[in-house]
Amino acid sequence: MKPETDFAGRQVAGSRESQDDYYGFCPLNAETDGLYGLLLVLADGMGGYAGGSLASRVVVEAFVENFCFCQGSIPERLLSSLRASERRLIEEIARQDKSLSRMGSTLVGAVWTPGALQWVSVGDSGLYLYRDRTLTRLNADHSLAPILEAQAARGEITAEEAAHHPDRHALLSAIAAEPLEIYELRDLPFELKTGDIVLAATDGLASLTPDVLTMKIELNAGETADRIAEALLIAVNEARKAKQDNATVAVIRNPTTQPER
Amino acid sequence: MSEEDKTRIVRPLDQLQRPATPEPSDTDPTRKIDREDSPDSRTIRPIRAAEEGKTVLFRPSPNRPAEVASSGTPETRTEDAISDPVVGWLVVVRGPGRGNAVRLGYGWNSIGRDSSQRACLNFGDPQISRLSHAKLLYEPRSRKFSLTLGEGTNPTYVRGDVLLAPTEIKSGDRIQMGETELLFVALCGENFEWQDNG
Repeated sequence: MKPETDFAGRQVAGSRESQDDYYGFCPLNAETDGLYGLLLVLADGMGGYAGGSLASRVVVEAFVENFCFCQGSIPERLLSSLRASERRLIEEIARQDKSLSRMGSTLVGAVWTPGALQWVSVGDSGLYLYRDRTLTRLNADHSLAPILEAQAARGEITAEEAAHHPDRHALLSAIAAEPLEIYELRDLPFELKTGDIVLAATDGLASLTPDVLTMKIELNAGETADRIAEALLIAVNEARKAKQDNATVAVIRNPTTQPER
Repeated sequence: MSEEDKTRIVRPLDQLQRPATPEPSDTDPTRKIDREDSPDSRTIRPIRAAEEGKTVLFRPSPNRPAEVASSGTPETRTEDAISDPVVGWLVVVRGPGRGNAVRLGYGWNSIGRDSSQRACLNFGDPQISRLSHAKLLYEPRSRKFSLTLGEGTNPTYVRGDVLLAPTEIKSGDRIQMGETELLFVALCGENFEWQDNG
C-alpha cells in the first residue's frame, strides 16, 4: 500500500518536557474519501497554556475524521473540517478540568491532489514550497510577526525591535475556546510543478534561518521525503538553541512524473 | 527520537479495517478515532481535481458565479443578485478609482486587487494586496459588519487606527488601505435585512 507520492513526518521535543505538536497524514482514495490525494494536518498546541498536547491531537484527529467523511468541494471540506476541529476542541474543553480551559492550537490542513495543493490554516504554523532552489511561505502567518515587520518596513520601529519584540510570537488567531475569526483558506488550487517539495512545519523550525533551511533542503532535494524531514530536524538539534521549542516537519514530494489516475 | 522516527498516518479507524484495539506491540502510532456513522451509510460524491478550478468561497449563499472571477468587474449582475444580494458597498472616496464602488455580500468578503476577490479593488493602487488585504464580514444573525486583518504586507486603517484585531464597522466609517480611502456604506442592518422581506 505504498502511496504514489512520497511523504514523511518527523518530530523533536527540543528542550520542552512535552510534545505539544501533532500531525497526521491521511492518504485519500476516490472510493472512500471522494478524491484521490493526500491530506496533511499539522497542529502546534499553544505552550503558553496547559493542555497544548491534548489540543493539537484533538484538532488533528477531528480534522482528519471530518475530512474523510464530509462532502463537497475541497475548500468546502477543508472549512467544514476546520469547524469540526473547533467544535471538538470546545467539547474537549467542556469535558476536561478547568485548568485546560485556555488550551488551543494552530492548524494547517493541506490537501495534495496530483499537481495541486489547497489548504486552510490558522495561526503561525507554516506551509512552504521549495521550488527552483527557493523556499517560499505559502500560507499566512497569523502571529504578530508580520505586523511588526510591516511597522519596521515603514520605519515606525527598527528592524531590531521588530525581531525581538516580546509579543512577536503571540497568535492573532488559534483554534481555542474563543470564536475563530481569522483563518486562511486557499480555495483556488495552488498549482504544483513536478519536483516541487511541500513542507509544513511548526514554529520550532524557526531556529533555522531561512537561508540555512533552504540550504538544507537543497542538499537533500534529491532524497526521499523522510530523509528531508530528518535532515531538517537534525539541523534544528545542531543549532543547539537553549530554549528549543517542539519542532515538527512534514514533507510531501510532488512526484517528478504525474501519478496515474 | 523514538515514535518520532515513523511517519504518522491518521485514518478514521473503520476505514482502515484494523482490529478495534491495536495489539500492544503495535508501534504504528495510528490513533483510534471513534465514529458513529459508517462510511457506507453515506454517498460520497467523487471529486476530480480538474473540477476544482473555480473559486469557491465559504458563505451563506455559495452561488458565486465563475464569471465574476474572470471578468474582473465586480459589477452587480442581475442573475446572481437574487442568490447573492447586496448588503453594503465600499465606495472609493480618495485615491485611484475615486468615484467607484464595490458591492459586499453575505458572509466573508475578501478585499484585494485580484479579480478573484469578492470585493475587488482593482483601480490601480499597487499598495493594496492582490489577495485578501483585509476581510469584511457581514453576519446576518447579529446584522453586524466587521473588518478583519488579511494577509497583505501593508496595513489597513479603520477610523484612522491600524487594524489589528477584528473590528466592528458601521455605516459611514472610513477605511484606508494604501493610497485608497474607502467609505463603508451599509445596506443591511437594524433597519433592513433581506431575510425580513420573505
